[in-house]
Amino acid sequence: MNRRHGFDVLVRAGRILQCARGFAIWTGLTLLIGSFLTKAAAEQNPPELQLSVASSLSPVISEICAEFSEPDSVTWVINSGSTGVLVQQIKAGASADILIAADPWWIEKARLKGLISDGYRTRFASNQLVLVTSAESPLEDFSWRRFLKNSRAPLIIGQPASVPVGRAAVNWLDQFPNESGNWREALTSRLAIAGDARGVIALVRAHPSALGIAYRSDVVAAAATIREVDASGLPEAPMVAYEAAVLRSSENRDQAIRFLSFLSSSQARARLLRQGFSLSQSSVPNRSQEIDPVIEAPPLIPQSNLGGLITRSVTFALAATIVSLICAVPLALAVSRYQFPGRSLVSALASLPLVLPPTAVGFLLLESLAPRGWLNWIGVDLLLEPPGAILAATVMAFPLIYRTALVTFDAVPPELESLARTLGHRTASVWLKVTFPLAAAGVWAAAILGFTRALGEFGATILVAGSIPHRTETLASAIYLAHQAGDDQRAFVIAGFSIGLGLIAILTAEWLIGRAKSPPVAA
Amino acid sequence: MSLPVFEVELVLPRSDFAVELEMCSSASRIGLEGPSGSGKTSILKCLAGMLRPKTGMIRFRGETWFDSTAKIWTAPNHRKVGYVPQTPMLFPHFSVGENLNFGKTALQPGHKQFRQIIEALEIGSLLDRFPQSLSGGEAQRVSLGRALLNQPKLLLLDEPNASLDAPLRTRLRGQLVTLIEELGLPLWIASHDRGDLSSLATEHYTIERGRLRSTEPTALPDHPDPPESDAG
Repeated sequence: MNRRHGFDVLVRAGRILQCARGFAIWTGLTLLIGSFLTKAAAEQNPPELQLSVASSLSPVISEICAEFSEPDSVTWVINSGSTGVLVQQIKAGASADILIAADPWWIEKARLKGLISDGYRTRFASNQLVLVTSAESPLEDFSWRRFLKNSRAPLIIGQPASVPVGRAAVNWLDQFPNESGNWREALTSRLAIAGDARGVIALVRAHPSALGIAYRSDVVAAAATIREVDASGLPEAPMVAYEAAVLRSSENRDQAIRFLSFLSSSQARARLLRQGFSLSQSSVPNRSQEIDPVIEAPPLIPQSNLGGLITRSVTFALAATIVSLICAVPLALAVSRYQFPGRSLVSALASLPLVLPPTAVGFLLLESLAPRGWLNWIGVDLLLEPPGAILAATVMAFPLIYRTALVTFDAVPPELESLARTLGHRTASVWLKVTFPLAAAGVWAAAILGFTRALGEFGATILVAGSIPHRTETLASAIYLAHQAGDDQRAFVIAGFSIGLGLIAILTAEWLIGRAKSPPVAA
Repeated sequence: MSLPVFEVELVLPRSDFAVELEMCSSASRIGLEGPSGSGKTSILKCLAGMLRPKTGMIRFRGETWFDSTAKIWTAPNHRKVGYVPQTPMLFPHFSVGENLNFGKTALQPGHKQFRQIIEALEIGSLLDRFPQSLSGGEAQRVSLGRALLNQPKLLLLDEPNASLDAPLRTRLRGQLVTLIEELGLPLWIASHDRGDLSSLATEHYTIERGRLRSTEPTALPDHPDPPESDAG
């Protein structure tokens, strides 16, 4: 018997080895052919010009790129983001030929770090800051004083540490009349921070009562959904200048330099003007010319303290876990125990957020909560509010809790339940005395898995609830914002706390499951 | 002629074949004989209310438990049957004592009959143990005890002695017969052990692929203890 079994194992192992060898040969061939093909393609392709573009500029730059005709045309790779993040990427070694930044402060910073080629630098456009609201905003006859004092509406600005429009916004806000109090104090829990200029517009669009500080070009580009608020009576809005520079790491210098001068061509200028940008007087600044007073520390905005951050994150995650448990456990029991029409569909839908990108979930929630969204229509208004963060985390934690509970209930033999019924117990009593005690360990595990998922939720939360210090900022979004702001120390500390919380959660889960798994066996 | 104890007429479709049973008997102890997978367990589960037949009617001592035309269905918790499955299904999170006490109408340890049942099944020493630590035979006896202690009106035994070794089986069978006679308990027993059938049942039906070979009871075997035929 045993020998025969051993032989079987050998035969099977042999077959597996054969398969593996075949697979290895096939993979090797594929790789070889693949590498030839890519090499050939690379030789044929036109030179690639990689642009790192401030997000407010990326649409118009794409248009200008299309007009820039070269004899042997160019393949464009446009990476858009907040200027601060782009500079960090380049500093970290990301390959790029041209940096097109809002705010010369950043170009100067990059120059000081030796990232750009001296002399190849142009200031080609500028953009004015404006106050904006959603086109559907009820804000009429805007008054800054009233907004500060009486409203609960959020103020949306870019992250001052990495987004030029955010830095300029903070400088502008500091000049606002402060007879009704310092804006920082008045807006402590109403300040929503966006990751780049386009993020400001996205948040303003979704939140009808919010006020945002954006660029005039944004209003031109999104005229259908946002409008400019009359800011007369407020200090003059600052202009943010755009500069382009050829990077030291560029492998296509000649083309990059030609593109830089094209930015000041009449075609490019026409495009820029049409999109709401202003044109700079001096096209290529002198290297020795002092550009802007370089402000070393980013302007201060309210920042969540660590204790508050942890308390808030844990509270949100707990709330999300409890809501998910209340919905997911009965659903899992129903799906596990009953046949009903649409059962598979219900089960699939309940599991869906698990396989979707969190940003897809966040986007759909945002659309549902935004004006004209169905949740907004039935009166749910949670955008940029803590309940919004809880909702997003709930939707993301739900499927994990549901699936784990379902597996757990499926593992409780239904026969045991029907036997309990023959012993005189009603259905509810059977669930209470047999099903739930036997499923307890699994449900605990489900709850803790859901909790950790909710604690780490970022993608959906940031879209729905933003990251408002003291209000909706969580561990996950604080790490992201700290990183974007270049404050790695803060990011490390918060990440450390996240690791601690995660470890505590997992160890608790293991302990609970271990305890529930082995009922005491009497000696 | 006395009133029938059992009137059973049922159709229960399964994936392999439909179980179709039609019988009426005034005997109170029925034996079902037939090969594995012939539908014995399905029939017992229908009687217990754990399975619901598609059509038909089940009546026990004039009480209707199921009638598809009159739309009557008595839930298992209202039938007061004691079902003893082929493989003992004890609640793993309860001790033996708690398992025995789980029935809604279970006899309490102080009761005279409690002691009688516990002693007959030789499970008095197991009360504090947990199901995971029991041998197959011990678990089977606890399962039987749990059903009996709930004071059922009808006992359903599915291969009750399958997991017992031969000497214990003979000893227990004797105890069980005495106990059941003393309690005056009607029962159905499904088995392919002729010894069990002949000592516990007074009427005997053979089932093949879901149907009775004959609606009339077959004669009981002559030998109460035939040579061991454990072929499963």
